[in-house]
Amino acid sequence: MSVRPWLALLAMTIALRSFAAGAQHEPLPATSEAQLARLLAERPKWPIYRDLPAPELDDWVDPSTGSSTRSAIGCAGLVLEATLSGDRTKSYVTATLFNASSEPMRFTEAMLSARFGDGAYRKLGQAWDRELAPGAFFTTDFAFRDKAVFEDQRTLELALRVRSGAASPCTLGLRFQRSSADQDRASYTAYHTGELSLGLGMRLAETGGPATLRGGSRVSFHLDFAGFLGVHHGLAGTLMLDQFGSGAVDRITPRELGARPHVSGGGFLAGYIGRIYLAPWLTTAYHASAGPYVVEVTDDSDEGPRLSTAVLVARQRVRLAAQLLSVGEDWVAVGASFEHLVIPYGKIGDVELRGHTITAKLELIVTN
Amino acid sequence: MRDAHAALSFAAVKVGRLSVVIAACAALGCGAGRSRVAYRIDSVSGLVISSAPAVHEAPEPSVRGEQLVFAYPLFAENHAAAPAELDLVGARAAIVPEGDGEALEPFRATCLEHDPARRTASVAVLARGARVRIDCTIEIPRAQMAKVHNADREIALTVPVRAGEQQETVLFTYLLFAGDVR
Repeated sequence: MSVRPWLALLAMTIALRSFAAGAQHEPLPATSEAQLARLLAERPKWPIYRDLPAPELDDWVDPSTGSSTRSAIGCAGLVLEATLSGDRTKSYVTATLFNASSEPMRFTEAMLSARFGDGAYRKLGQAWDRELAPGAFFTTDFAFRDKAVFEDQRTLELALRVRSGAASPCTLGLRFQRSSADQDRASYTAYHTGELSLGLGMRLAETGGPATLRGGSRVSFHLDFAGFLGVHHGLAGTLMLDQFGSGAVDRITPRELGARPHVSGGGFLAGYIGRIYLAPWLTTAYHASAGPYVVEVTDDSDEGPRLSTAVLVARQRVRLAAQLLSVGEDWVAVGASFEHLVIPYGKIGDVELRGHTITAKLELIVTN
Repeated sequence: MRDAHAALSFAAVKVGRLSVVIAACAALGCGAGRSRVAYRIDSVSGLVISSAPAVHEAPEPSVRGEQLVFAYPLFAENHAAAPAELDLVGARAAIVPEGDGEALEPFRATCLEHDPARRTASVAVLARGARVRIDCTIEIPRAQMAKVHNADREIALTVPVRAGEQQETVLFTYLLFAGDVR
């Protein structure tokens, strides 16, 4: 059997493939002036789009595109384009739905959900009764309230389930892949910007004046509010209240007092707070502050403080706090703290106030 | 003495002008932080092309010599069964005419693939499932700089694409603010 016909066929195949490849890469005609004029005349009004809600998540950016943007097309001409971003407290998906078909699309139901590589599932949002004309699109941001779900994830799959009229539901999916081996801590840690904490505890040890004032009660209470200017540093204010009981009243003043006389201290302090995230749900914080502190002797009469004095005090506090649960946009955490209060000078009645106090507290913290 | 007086007058005029510019910039924003990109997404036979990166990165124009230059990144992902192409050398830009008297004078935009290994490609070929970012640079020609001096102007960018049997030119737009030129 001759091989010539086969060689001829092979040569023809190669020639045809080369021709096809050549045609494939033949330059397209550049846009002519008339074509551009027509495009400009026919274009619909496109929206000037607002920026992403936050910077893109760097470690989810595809190095080949320099962007985390992904797209999918399906469900009879529906395009889903999505981009991942994140700020200090939340991560976001910005999703665009575009009708690439020639028919209007009326969704009776649309739901976007996310599934991570480890199986974690989040429902991001849903809508009903939305119409999309041919060529039209809309863009919406969806927030992941628990940003920590991004920790140690390698993949994230978005699924858009849409139902149009009586037709059976259709699902459009796209997949993100974490591009860097070292995950950026900021991409899964929610750095809260503000917090309010209620602390209740007892004084463990005192020296000097505070030891002299001790008499029946060791209770200490505070209300702290802090705002963080960055990830680690912030400003904080404290309203504090200490109950010393009645044991020291006689040492302070020989005056005749009404029923149930007792000694208390209260102050308003302001200062610096710094924090470190040991884990997305666990922080340690250091708080240093100073301000006026009033020590007073009161009784059950309506005459107000029977004796009082104001001094300037300094306080430092270390705290370990763990996030427990989310309440709407906020988080509730519990913490344990140790405080050191310094009263550098002052006198109430016959008692010198100068001295130190160490207090231990349990705290209930609300962060956002 | 006259020299000193002249120098002081000159300095006063400069400071005065600078104050006016700063005040105007403060009032108008000088374009900084204002949205510039009309979000555009299109699909040509399964090739999705959009201005998403341009929107996200909000490129600011810069003045190089006497020319105004700005970047316009694009994103494309091919969901068609066959390869698709973006003709990078065919990309054109133009200042969108205002009024009937102004001519449309398209000029060439420089578009390159973002991937450093493919920066020299004249055509971006996307296999099925591939995605690409195209970095376009638009330089307003000297001859047309007068058009962008006094008012906000819209710039059009077109890129010819081919997907399957379909050939289309996709149009994107960008807003130049008058303050960009100062």
